[in-house]
Amino acid sequence: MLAIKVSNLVKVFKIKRNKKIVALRGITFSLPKGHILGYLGPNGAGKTTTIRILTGFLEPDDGYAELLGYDISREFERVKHIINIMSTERTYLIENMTIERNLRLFGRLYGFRGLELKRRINELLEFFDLKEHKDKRIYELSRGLRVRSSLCRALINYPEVLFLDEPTSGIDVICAEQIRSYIRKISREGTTIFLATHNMYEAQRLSDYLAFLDRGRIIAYGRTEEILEKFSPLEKVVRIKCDKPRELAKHLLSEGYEVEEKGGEVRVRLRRGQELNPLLVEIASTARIDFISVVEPSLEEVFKHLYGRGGGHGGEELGR
Amino acid sequence: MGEKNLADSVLGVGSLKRASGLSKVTDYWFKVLEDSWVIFKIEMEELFSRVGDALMFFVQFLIMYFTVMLPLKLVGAKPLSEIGALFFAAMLNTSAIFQFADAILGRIRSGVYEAFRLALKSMLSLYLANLYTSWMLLVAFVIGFIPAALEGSLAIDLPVFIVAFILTFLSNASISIVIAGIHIAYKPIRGFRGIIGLILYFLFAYGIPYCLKNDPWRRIVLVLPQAHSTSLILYSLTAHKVVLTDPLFSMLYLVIFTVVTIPPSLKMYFKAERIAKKYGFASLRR
Repeated sequence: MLAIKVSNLVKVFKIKRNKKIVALRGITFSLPKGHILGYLGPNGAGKTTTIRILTGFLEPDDGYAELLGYDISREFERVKHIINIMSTERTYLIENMTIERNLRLFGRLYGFRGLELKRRINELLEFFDLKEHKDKRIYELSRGLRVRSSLCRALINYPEVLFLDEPTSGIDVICAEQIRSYIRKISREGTTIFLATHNMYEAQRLSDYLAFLDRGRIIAYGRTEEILEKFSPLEKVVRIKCDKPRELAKHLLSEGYEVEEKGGEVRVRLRRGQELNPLLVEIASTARIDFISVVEPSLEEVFKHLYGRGGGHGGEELGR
Repeated sequence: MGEKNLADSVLGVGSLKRASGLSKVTDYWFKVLEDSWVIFKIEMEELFSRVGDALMFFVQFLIMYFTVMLPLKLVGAKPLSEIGALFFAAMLNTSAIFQFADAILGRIRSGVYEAFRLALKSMLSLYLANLYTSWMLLVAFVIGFIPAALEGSLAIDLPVFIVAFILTFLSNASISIVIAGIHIAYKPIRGFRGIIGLILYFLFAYGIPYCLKNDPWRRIVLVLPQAHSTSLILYSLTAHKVVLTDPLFSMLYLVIFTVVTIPPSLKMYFKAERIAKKYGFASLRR
């Protein structure tokens, strides 16, 4: 069963009397239940707009969107209790209230009470290691703790679909890694996750499906491994440390390889169709190898390939 | 006989359908009221969980009282019951003007308004929860009238006061709805909330009573519902000693003002909500 089905979604924002921004230009994608979709794109590509439409805060100008089989334009009331949203930009929590009270408030509004509610709150506080901070007010929390509290609130109603808008943006590496491990855990419990992010590493590690958004259009969509296979310009990257790095680099260049030499290390970027074995033979015949490693292509290469090295573009402004 | 047949034969099928429709309506309102109570209760728990914060409310009311009492006592020797009435009328009107808007102001940027939108059956619960917090005016009432009671000048016409209290909230509802509409769709005004509140407070405490006593202004100011509610509050809280307008006329004016202004303001608010849904909330727009 599909958790999210989006077809030809269009959104236009009027910013001034005669200026419009086309945020979404007919996007189409779907996501089966229980999977994670990495929704990628540069700033202003339309990621947050898509989330805001799917969570009922914005109306699309055209197109169709379905959540768990319900048309969000007409049947949103039936689905709003089984979805939730979390973002680093906004906490979705009452700032001058403690974490525990915020959770109790939203838990009660979602219809939980008594022992069941207590159990759920404890479960979440434990899951996100927030027990010792539960009596702190939201405005007193560090960014990392705010993100974790916000995730707690977003999970209070056991959502079937969870929307995460850049969940690790602006937080330190250790905390971000912790958040990622939580996201993995949540997904393992069967929640469908829509993950809008800038972070390629995060998207590659967490997502089952990927959608690349550019200027309001989806330019690539599919299973993560398919995307890597289809769009990565590279087959592999080979890193070599040897006794004669300069000579090796020159030799490989003359053999037609894409080579970079930096700090005594030679990096060879194997394009699609280039075999690894002949390269290894060339290396062995030219220098004495101290260290060699073969790195699989990353999503970052795909991103660079899809958007060009200059980075992406935001929504396009149009005249009336 | 099956349960359904029994019900059919006793109530008739039509009555059964009506009953189920009725139960839907009852369930809806029950949930709306329950949600509003939950929000109010937990917010109050939070407020009173820290003595300092709760005390701040008291201190805030006390300061507001002195801003009215001290200047009036310095310029003339008004009885403390009249000063207390002026203070309470100003507090009541200011609070009533934000009764609906405060449920929205300050909740959009943090996203909590949207979180409520997902969690609540109806956003009406948020408004009701905000309205319940007006019980805190009781603190203002006590602050305003303890000095008068000690002075011996306290005399209240309670039935008129209750009517004036309700009419103040009702007549200010439309203005509050318009403020909320402006905030969500046109211009975020959260940052001005404090200063607007303060200006309105002094306007209601000094400006309106002054205008009501001085003629060319009197005719102008009588258009405002706050002039009538201030007059009614003063009338009831001084046991008819201060009569700035005909109380019956003022009551009638406030009822008519409420009936006439609420439908268009609601219409404007729904239009603002549609704009917010189309282009995003004003405070979040790029």
